[in-house]
Amino acid sequence: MAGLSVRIVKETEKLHTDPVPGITATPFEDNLRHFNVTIEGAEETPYAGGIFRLELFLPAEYPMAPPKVRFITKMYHPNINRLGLICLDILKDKWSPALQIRTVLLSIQALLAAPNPDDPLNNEAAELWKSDEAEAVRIAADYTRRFATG
Amino acid sequence: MSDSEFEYDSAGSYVYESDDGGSGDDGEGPASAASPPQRDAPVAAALPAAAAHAPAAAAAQGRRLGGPAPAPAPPLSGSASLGASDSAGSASRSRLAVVSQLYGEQGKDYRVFGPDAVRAEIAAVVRDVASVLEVAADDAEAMLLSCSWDKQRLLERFTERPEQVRAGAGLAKAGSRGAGAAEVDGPEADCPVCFASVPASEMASLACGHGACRECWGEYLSGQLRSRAAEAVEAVCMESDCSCIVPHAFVRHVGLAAARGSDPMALLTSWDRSLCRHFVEHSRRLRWCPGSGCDKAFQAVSAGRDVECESCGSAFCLGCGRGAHRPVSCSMLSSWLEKCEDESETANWIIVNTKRCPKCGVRIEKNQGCMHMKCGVCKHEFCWVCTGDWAMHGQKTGGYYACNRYTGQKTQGRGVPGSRPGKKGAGASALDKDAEENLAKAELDRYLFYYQRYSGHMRAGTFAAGQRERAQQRMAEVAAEGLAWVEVDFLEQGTEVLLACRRVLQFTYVMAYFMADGREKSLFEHLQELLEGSTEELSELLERPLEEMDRRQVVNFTRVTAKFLSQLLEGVDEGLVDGASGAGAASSAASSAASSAAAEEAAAAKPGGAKSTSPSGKRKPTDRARQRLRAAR
Repeated sequence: MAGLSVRIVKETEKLHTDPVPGITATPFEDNLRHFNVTIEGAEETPYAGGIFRLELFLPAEYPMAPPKVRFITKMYHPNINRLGLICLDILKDKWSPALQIRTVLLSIQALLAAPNPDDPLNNEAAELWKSDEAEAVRIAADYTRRFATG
Repeated sequence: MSDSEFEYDSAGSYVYESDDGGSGDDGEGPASAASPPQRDAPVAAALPAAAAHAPAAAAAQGRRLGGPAPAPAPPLSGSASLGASDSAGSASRSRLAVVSQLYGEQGKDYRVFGPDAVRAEIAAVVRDVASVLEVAADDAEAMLLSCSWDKQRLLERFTERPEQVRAGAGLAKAGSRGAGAAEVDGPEADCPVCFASVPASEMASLACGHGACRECWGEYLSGQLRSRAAEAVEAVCMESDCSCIVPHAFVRHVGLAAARGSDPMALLTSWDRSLCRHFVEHSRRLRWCPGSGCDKAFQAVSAGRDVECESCGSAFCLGCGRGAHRPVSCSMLSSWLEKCEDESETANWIIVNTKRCPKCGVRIEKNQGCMHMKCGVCKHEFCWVCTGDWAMHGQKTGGYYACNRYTGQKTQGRGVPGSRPGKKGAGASALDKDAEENLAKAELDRYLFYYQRYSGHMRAGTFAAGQRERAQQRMAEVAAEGLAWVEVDFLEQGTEVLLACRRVLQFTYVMAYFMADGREKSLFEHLQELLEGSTEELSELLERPLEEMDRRQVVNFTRVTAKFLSQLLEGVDEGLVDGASGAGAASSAASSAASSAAAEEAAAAKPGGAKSTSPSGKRKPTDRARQRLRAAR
């Protein structure tokens, strides 16, 4: 699997020519399997107004194996831990070769809008989300203001 | 294993004749027509192995009848099975014969399958289900996969709710299109996985219709085989959230494209291997031989049964898959292992941090610096370092702390010399003094008593396993000197018997731990004692240098020890333990009488001047045991 597959080239082109609203993904020049990603927080969520940076890496087995994605921007979210690792089924056992970079990033954007505190990666945030959602939302918005703007 | 074993030959390709995954009617015709010879072939192939076992099983049967029978004469005749073949000098007699005599006494109520036989078994069950339910072979296979190859359960569930079963197995509704070439408009299509434009003929899809090019399918399936092993055969469609299962015929359909110039059968072959693994690992009645690299599968008729694999020599239990553990049952072994896990930390702490009072035997933890100890229970004063009487420590012994010098005969931390806390009588009376307070401690001591012996035999067994190789070497040496093979194979037989005895002895301590005190236990311990004594003798004999070894003596001890072993196992099988029922007591009395006969024989086996001293720790039959024996007779 030396070099870049047709699929990766085509996906990269399409991300450039037909970008998903609120999402950018550009490969780094030194490694075309390594992407610099930004996702805008959706309105009416504690992440609104923030621009979150992520990195995405396509392993050699891609698309038979899922891409590796993590947040670089500090987040307060029950399914994202301090290292920025994301708990999302399609990045693990529910991966399908028919999914793409585009669909993965859309799923992550949706995860920001709909946290799932019952399947936590950040226990502290998940517990607060369940016991006092207003406070949790306030902290998340605070994180967004401090780390994801400007 | 040679590749030929896994070749996708006539025996393997059975029901997957229709290349494009045709309907049930297409696949069924040739399969059922060809069924009788295909079914017979593996059975015939398996026969030689079974036949090889037959004489041994017959011999075992003979001994079983002769051994514990109530008549007084037969016990001695039992030795004929080992002795006769020994003098007959048949070079074909292998070590397996020895072991099958020891372990095959219940009759061979299990079957062994090689890779081909497993494939044939899969073919047979798939064919059965396909013809009964009137579905395609691949559909039958998929449904069997989804219900752990339980034919009966599948048939019942399918009769009640066919659609639910089909859906659960990842099959499309009955009557929908089959897997194979995808429906494509136009001469070319874009593969949604690799994004390449490929000729329409290259596109393939499952029953769900989600197409992808054959190369991507091949890559996907090889990836599944690499990462999921046996479970790879449960692979579903590549489309996100589609649960349509990949049928066997589809693997063949895409296999050729995936090969890219290498072995065109590679994908199908490893798929086939995964299917066999799935079949064995998920069927309740089958179990792989635990030997590393061994490809034999065992089918148990009854659970909880020790067997030895003929091809790799691993001895294991068909019930639980753990190493052979007669005479204890699988559940008893589980409780024991659980106990060991729970207690090991406590036991370690006790062994490391406490010592017994040399006078009353109570466990003492030292919590202050001075070596001058005074027992809180019996007020005995002693030295912590050597556990000797403190009164003996003073100027006349060269100062208070002279006992830190190594003299080579310290019994530090070994407790009271000669006391056996777990056994009734000695040692127990001291503990009874403060019964309630010491109950927990006594229980722990009891556990430690059995555990130490259990692990002792386990370690000795490991050592004996090492001897097996040396025995082979020695046999080669002796054979090189011009002696016939039959003249030296006594070494191997002795080692095999020794190994079996170590293993059984190890587990007899588990059994004894769980047995309630009483007549049954006394008889059991008596049999255990005889076996242990004889095993130690045999072990010592086998460790001697070859030139000092007396062949006749080794042969005799091998025979006698093997006899003690089978008596103990038979005794347990026939209800030595399960309640003191009339029949159980009678049979144990009989085997006890038999063992006394064997004991006499053992005494006779010792040549006049031969070394007959036992190792220091060896137990001699007590007077009480002798009395019991007389009563039993």
